[in-house]
Amino acid sequence: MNEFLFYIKQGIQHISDFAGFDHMLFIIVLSSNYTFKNWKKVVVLVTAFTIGHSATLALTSLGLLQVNFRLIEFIIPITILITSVYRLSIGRNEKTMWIPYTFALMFGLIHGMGFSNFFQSMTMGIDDEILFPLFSFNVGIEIGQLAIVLVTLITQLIVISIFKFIKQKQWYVALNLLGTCLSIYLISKIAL
Amino acid sequence: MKYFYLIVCISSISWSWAHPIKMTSAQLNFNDNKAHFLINFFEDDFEAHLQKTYRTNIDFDQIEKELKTIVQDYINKHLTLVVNGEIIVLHHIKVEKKANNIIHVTLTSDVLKATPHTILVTNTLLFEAFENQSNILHILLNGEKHPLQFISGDSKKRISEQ
Repeated sequence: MNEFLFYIKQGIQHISDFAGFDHMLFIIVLSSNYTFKNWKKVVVLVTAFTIGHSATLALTSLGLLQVNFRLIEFIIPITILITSVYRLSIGRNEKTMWIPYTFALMFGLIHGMGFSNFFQSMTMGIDDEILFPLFSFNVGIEIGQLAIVLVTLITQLIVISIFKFIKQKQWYVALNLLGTCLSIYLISKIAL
Repeated sequence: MKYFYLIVCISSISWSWAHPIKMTSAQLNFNDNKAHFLINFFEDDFEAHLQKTYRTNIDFDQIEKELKTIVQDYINKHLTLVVNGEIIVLHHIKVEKKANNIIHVTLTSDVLKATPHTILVTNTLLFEAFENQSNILHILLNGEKHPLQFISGDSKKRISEQ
């Protein structure tokens, strides 16, 4: 139980860490154009992202997939940039959902390798039995991920529907501009 | 509304980036009535910090006696182990360079006076080097795993046998 809770906490902390906000930003951008009315779309998006990152987190952590973590840290902000620019370009006129679902799945594969970098740093080969810690860590990631989606949707509800500070369009444009600016900043920071 | 978007962009740029993982991972177990510590450091971080602290050239490609002495001195200053209320001195050091930028350090105590039932660990390894340093320690006591995390401001942990 000790170990289970420990790794769950690590998973939650890792995905919601403001110092390393890349994963959090991706989830915010991914869910930025939706409201509680579109909850089914959000569930499919989050599930696709989960399938993607769980697969590569497990494969990489178990040593079945070798990756260059420096390259992954560079690609992660590119996934945010592509998603933000796509969101800005289509707005809420989404004619097909297969593009965002594919983004969520494919980019989930990339983020999973990033999660694995952190997970492997925690164990550094010390613990031979990593299946249980890996499972617990992934559960923590899921809890953190759902919390980020919920906070994004609730904030949107408060800002747009209750207090009417801004309109729906201004909300997602602002979030995706934030995603675009921050991802360009991250890419240049890593590249230089 | 243009100004709103401008503020969003400018505020995003001012958000600082400090993501590189700063961590050590360690294990403490008790075999043959001795305490055995195994600590993993990221080589680049550890090397740079020892170089700065001891003002000497540190090179883990050539692990010699002098380097082992420095590593042991650093660890003894930043990692303390108290078993059943008694401070345990760790020595018999072994330093190895592993793949993936990892330095593997093992330390062993002398024979303990009694079976451990209360363990107190203070771990501040690399805390003065990195603000976001986090040290993970897995204690194995009587077949049970106790994972602990040490961060700045929370560097002391105690476990007791149930």
